[in-house]
Amino acid sequence: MNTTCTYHGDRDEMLIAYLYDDIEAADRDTYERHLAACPACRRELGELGAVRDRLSRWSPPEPARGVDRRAASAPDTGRVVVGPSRWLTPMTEVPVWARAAAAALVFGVAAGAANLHVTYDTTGFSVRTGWMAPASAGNAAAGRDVAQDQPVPWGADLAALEARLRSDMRTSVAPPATRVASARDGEAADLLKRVRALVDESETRQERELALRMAEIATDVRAQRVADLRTIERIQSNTGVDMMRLYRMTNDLAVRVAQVR
Amino acid sequence: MTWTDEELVARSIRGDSESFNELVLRWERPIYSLAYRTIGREEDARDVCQETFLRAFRGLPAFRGQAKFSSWLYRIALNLCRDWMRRQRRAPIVQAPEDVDLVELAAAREPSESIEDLVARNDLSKVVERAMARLPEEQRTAIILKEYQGLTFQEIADLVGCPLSTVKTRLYQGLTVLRRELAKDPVTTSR
Repeated sequence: MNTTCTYHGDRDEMLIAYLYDDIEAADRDTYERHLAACPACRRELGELGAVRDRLSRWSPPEPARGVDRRAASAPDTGRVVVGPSRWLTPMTEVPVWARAAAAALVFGVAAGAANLHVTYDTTGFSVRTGWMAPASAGNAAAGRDVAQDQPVPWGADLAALEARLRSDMRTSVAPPATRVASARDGEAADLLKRVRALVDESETRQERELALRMAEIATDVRAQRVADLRTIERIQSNTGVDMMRLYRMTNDLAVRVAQVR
Repeated sequence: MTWTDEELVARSIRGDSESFNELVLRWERPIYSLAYRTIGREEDARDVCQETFLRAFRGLPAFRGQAKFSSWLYRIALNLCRDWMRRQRRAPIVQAPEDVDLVELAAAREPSESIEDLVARNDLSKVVERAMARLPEEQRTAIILKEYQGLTFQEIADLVGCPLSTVKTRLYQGLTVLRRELAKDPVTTSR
């Protein structure tokens, strides 16, 4: 109690009511008039306000588990069982292995698509990307399988080209041996030239499309990588919480042992 | 649609278990915080929180709505905290390690917070926790209910069963003691 204060009435109660703003309007007016003339009350009000500010820094730790609301589902027993609560992080809803598998799948699809090879010779049409090192024959075949399994935007062009080539070849009724000879023919040379031009044009378009797709995939991979890193950070954080709990249990045990002694 | 506590209570009494779940969702955190700040132990605070809702659930048919549902819950929780302290026969334990616990710090770290700020915040929190633990139970309870639970003086008086003026006196005395205790600590005086 400050001896220099001249407030008439219960000064401590009034001060605390004013501090928490839980006060009648008339009392507030009265006390504010007093405050204007009382440095002691003003100082104490400021100091208690600072205490309140420090109190606001104290927050309880996040509980690892909350109340299981299944209790209400079993009204006959009225039994409350500790179980998962909303306080658990959403990470626990999806197993870590599943997240890792999803990440690996995305990466695998991206890598597979980047190594795409399409051939068109005796076995088909081929386009090679430069994003990865040249693939082996086996990989090329695998790449072709990927291309065949997936609908591609240039599929219509390829189909048209193939149809045209087949049509042109059908017009040449000569057997293969004769075909080699006829290749020297001017008409055949023109045909081959047109075919090469078509193939070049098609390859250019396909490379553009592929470059675009690679860029999209790279963006997706980057986004997934960031998400995975965040996941790892959260897992580490959860592990930290578990260790903290273990630490507290040990601490608690030590206190109890000390009490027994 | 958002139901009031009283509406949810009425529906729970009529057998709507989802309504009671909603009440638990709404109040589990405040009750846990109250219990933790009163008894100072996370595990026990969780048990008190659990037991509070269990007793509330069992006592629903007898709840006549004379008081607010939250006040009723607070009363149950406070009684359980008192029982716990009586069993312990001593002041609440403050589990503050002497050294900085890096694992705990890492778990509590906020994204943009520097490690220096984090250590300072943790220290300050522990200092406040220790100072609160030194208060007499009545003063500590009054401060917790007012400062952290946001109850009015009248609600606190009804809850703990004492006159309004006593609540204010306990708060004044408690804050005065805290001011003195916190002033001793360099962590709080330097900030």
